[in-house]
Amino acid sequence: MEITIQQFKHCDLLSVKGKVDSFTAPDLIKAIEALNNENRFKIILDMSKLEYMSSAGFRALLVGQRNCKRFNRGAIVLASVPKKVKDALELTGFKPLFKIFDEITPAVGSF
Amino acid sequence: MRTAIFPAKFDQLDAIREFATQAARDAGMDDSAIYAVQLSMDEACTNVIEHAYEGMDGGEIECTCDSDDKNLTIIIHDHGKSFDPSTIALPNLDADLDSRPVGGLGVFLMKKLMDEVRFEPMGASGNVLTMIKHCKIEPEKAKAAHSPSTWKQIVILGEELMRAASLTSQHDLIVGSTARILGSQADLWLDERLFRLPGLNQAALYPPQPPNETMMKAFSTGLTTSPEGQKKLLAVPLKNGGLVMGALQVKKSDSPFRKNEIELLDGLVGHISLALVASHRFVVEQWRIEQLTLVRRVSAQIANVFDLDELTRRVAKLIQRTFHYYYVAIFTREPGQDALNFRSSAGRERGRGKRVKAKLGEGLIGNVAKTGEEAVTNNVRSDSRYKYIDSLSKTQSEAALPLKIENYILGVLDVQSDQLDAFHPNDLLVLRALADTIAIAINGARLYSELQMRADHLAIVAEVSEDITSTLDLDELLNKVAVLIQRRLNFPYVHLFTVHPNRRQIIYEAGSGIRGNSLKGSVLDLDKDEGIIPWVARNGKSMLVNDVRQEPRYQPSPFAPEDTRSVMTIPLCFDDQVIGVLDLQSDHTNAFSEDDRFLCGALADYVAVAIHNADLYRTERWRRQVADSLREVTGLISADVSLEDVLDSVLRELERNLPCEVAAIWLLEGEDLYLAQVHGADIMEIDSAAHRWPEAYNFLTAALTAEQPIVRKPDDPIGPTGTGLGFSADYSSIAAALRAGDRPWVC
Repeated sequence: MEITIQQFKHCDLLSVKGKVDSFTAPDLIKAIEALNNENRFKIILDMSKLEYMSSAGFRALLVGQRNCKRFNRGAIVLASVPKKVKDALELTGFKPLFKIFDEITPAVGSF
Repeated sequence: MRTAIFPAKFDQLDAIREFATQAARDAGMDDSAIYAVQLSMDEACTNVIEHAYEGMDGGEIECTCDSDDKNLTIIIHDHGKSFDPSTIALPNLDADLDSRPVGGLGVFLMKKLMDEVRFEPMGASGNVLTMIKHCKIEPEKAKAAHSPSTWKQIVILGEELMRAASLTSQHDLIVGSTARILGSQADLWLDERLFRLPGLNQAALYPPQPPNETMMKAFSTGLTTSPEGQKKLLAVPLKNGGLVMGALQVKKSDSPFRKNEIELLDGLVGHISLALVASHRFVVEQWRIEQLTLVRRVSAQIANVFDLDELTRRVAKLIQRTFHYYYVAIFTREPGQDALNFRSSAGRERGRGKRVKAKLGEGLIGNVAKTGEEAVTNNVRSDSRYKYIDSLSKTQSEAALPLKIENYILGVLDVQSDQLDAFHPNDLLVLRALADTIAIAINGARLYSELQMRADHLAIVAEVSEDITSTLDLDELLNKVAVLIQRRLNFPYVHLFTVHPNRRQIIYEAGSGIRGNSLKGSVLDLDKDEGIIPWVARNGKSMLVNDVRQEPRYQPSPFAPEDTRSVMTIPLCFDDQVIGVLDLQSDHTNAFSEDDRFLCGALADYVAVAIHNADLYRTERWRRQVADSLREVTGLISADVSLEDVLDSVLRELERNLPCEVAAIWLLEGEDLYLAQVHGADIMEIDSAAHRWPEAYNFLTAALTAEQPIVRKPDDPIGPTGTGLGFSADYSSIAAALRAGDRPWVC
């Protein structure tokens, strides 16, 4: 898994490339926490290069969302979610917890 | 089945997922099923690492994957702490963000994604987790272009197409398999002319043109076609080399065809085309072998049969049975006849083996017999040459093939079918081969029967001549000849005449049957202009008339049966003299052939010789008798018997040799003749008549000075004997002079 972060004025674009499983999910959690530590809570998760995500990844998203949303500071939104991942999110009831955008631009605009 | 052992570490998850992915792919699963397997495997192993081994180093996970047609089974075995995930509460999927539990998702996902999940805690030996995923391939999800099972289906389809017995079952196989493989509706159209099986008259399965525009376009251009803008409907041409044989159309109601599906379709169609062509070729090959077998069987029959009627009967039957034709007939053509000889026929229905009459130039058969060119019509209604025959009312197609040896037309093979377009080029190929074989056979049989006939005829001539040359009695001889010819040559009416050029008469001598005898002695005038018999008798040439209605010389006569149709009249010649006539008649037209004329000519020669011999014999016998009589008379004279007795015995001997009513001897007494002796009349009456009628007397005395005996002609004066007995003017007499001492006698 590779994570790249692009900072905008009012939000950050976090791109995840590769596979997210129990082995790599802690890195994702750390990346989100690092942003939160800089008082950045509006995060767009770009999943266009994401190949795989297990429930460990979902847990990372869930923990991150809780932190970002606390005190209405912000939120994590998902963009360009691959169908397989979207199906799994739906199956596990995670989908209602996130705003999901097909493209990155509208996701950026949503903040 | 495959097994792998992985260290129980999170960094192994990637390898573990890859292991399961391979197994799922091999089982023929689609992408989403593969993802489900990956995810379940990941979650299961994550649980093992987290809960069974509790993050401890050195643990191992043993994974086993096994798949069959229906299921992929994954068994995960660990040696960690006994752990039962079913004790983990299922997450509340509706809970809000803050109350959402963090754990329990893995087991939940496994149970959702796999069809069966079983946990078996084994105590000290760890835990066994069994997960099963069904390998169901739903048509709408089957996009696995490269999945081996799809190719397998295509291969099986090819094999089944080869085995299919008919175009119908091939159609069903193609449509069914295409629909299954592509998950779409399928429709097939084939150019049936290319696939028609020879010898089978099956009804058309496909319309002559593709049923819709898309298929029509695909068929005519040879390119994959879809209506503008929509990829839900595709028509792919079926091709073999450059030849387009038909089109396969597929249709999807929901989504358009994807690229890999179109590729798959192309491959499928190519395979179908190949299988169709191969199976068609195979059937045609089989059929060819069958036809060749038939030709061979016919040839074998032909080689064994010399009798033409038997031969044609067998061949017609064989062709009819093998090809299931409506009617098969064989005709032969005899030189010099304008009608064909019906030889034999065979029909599908009972009583269809009927005789059919055919004249040269009439109907298809007659045309072929006349021109020697084959005539085939696939629809008799539209062929002007076709001649309708009541007994063959169902005929729709007809093929008439000439039976030829080089340019000589021996006959016609006629085949009729109650189907339209019954004659495929392949059928004609075989029929032509058969016609050639039959022609050779007919020629052979004809030569053989000619040879046989010649031999028979020679035997008849030999027998007849042997019989008649041993007969010296003329009446008996002529009767014998008539009976023998009738019996041995099977001519119904045989008549024999003798010709008498001096009397200008033809006399009926003998005939076959009762009626023949009753006419004995009837006389024809040799100089009569009409009538065949006088003409033959005058000219010494034979005459053959096979239809008397067309012969001006023919005249009905009491000798002929009333319904005479054919006549053959042969002169009996000896030493250039016509001494008799052989007359044969028949109540059929075309009853006599040139062969018969030849045969009867040969017989006539023998008969003429026999008649001549019998005649000679009769003359010889008479001469001998005359010599005896003369010796008798001479003996009497030298024995010095009285003149009266001598004259009496002279007359007696004369009567014995020359039968006559009256015989008289006149002697000279001075210058006058007196009647010395008479037999058959009163002596005084004749004598007084001679003296009373000077004319008669003078006619008598003329014989005295004549060089030769005088034979009376009808317009000569009536002599004394004739006058005395009151004979009519046409009586016969002969007067000769007795010249030993100028003493003449007259009788």
